[in-house]
Amino acid sequence: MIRLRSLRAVVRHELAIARDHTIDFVIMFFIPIVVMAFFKPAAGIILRAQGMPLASGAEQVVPGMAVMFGLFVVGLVCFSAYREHGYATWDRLRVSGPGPTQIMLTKALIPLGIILLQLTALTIFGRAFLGLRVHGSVIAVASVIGSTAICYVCIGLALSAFCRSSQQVSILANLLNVLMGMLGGAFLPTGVLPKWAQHLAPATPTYWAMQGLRPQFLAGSTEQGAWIRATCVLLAIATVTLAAWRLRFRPEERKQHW
Amino acid sequence: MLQVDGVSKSYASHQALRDVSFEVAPGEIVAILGPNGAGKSTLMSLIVGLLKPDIGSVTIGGVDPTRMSQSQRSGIGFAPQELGLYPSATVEENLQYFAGLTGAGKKAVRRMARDAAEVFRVEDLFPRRISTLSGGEKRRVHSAIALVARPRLLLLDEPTVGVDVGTRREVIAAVRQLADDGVAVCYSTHYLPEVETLAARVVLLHHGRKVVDGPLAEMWRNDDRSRITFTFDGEAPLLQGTERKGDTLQIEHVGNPGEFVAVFFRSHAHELRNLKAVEIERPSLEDLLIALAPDLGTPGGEIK
Repeated sequence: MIRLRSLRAVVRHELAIARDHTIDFVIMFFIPIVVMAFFKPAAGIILRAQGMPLASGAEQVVPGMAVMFGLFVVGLVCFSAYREHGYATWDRLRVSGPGPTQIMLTKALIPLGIILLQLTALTIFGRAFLGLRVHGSVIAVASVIGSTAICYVCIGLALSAFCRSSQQVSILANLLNVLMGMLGGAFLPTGVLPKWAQHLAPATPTYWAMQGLRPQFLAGSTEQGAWIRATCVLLAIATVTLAAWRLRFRPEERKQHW
Repeated sequence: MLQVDGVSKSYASHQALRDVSFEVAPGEIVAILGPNGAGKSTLMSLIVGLLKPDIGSVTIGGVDPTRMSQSQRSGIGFAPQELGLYPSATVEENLQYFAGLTGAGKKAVRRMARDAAEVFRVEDLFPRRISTLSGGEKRRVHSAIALVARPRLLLLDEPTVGVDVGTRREVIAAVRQLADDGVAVCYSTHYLPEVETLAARVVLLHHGRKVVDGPLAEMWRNDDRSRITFTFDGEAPLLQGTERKGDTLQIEHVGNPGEFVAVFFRSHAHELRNLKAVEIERPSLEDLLIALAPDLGTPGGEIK
């Protein structure tokens, strides 16, 4: 009970800090919307050329932009940890709270909530304004969205343990964003990528998120059962990165915040 | 309450602490003194459990601080040297956050924050954001956070750095009151007059070693040096064994100064005709410490 209440204090505090950055989150929602609207016609042409005559393009751009821009959460997780070093509050947290590991995991709940909200809101927006339809299972969509969010947050935790400064995080998170977005088929379907890129694609979580989500939105897709495998792979990546974080996380290590 | 037993700690090739031992009892204030790099902050970090000693042990109430449960840890209040506050949050939110981390309920958290704020007189600052406070106000809030869990052991690492005279007095009065209420206090500082005001026991660190450990009164008792100044109405007479400076004569004496002055009067009754005043000055804390560790008085080893 004591531990639960102290972790609730961490959540409340993180939410209060997140409220001060509302504008950042609004941007996180609006940029993908603009990109979705911009690329939808081109994505429609590509999907129809790939043998999906009923595709509007929303089936690609909505999940694609959602999982690609969702990668921004990796940076959010890291900055939430590094901020404590910037404010010199980390040592105090280490000795006054329920322990550094629990604090870090609890802090990660806020970015997890943000990414879940972002992925869900963008999907709902796609349905309301871009003609996206769920032809598969809503449970499958929810499952892939959930596992993608968990996976991204765990990648963020791992990155926070391995990097030393916010600058390193910023560079690596942006690189991951572009690489995973491109390779994973979030930007363009993997079928139109070069062969070598198609071989590398399964190494990215975005690929599995797209493998799980896109068939749920495509009419007549034969791959609607792929979401189970996608969910499992995403959760496996989450487990590996979480384990990497746990092994590398050293509470006494100083991080440089800007 | 606190027992530090033969503690040594190294960082790579630098040995920060060597075989340091001391105890702090409830209600006692121990001033941890020493020049920059003497190992004061390392010692604080070891006591609070942020670091583990290479050799030796630290126990608080018989428990190793690195193995303490959350509720046991609440018994330690720690204000590190560097200000650790959330600038965009208000004073109240900062205090309540750290109170909440102890696992207390909502009402208790509010009360804990208010009680801690009262001690360092920051309750009027509650609605203000940290970013709008002065340096002294921030320092007081920072120290108040160490009190939110009503600790039995309080560690304040240079709590008066960069604060004005008024704030310094308030901090010292608050610390004195806490000790009177039974809290064991470890107080690291460079400002020796604070140690005298607090009537603290002194633990002096130098090059990572403990070179002094004792109550101030005892240190003074053990040092029988004094400076005796005779002030005259007009120019001071020239007397052997004294230093003349205009209208004063100064004598550095080792032994009982009262007896010395009585003998001096008897043997120089004629020369002391125009004597206006006699002042006997005991060595300052700084003099005492420099006598014990002479290179403290050199640049880089300065004490203030």
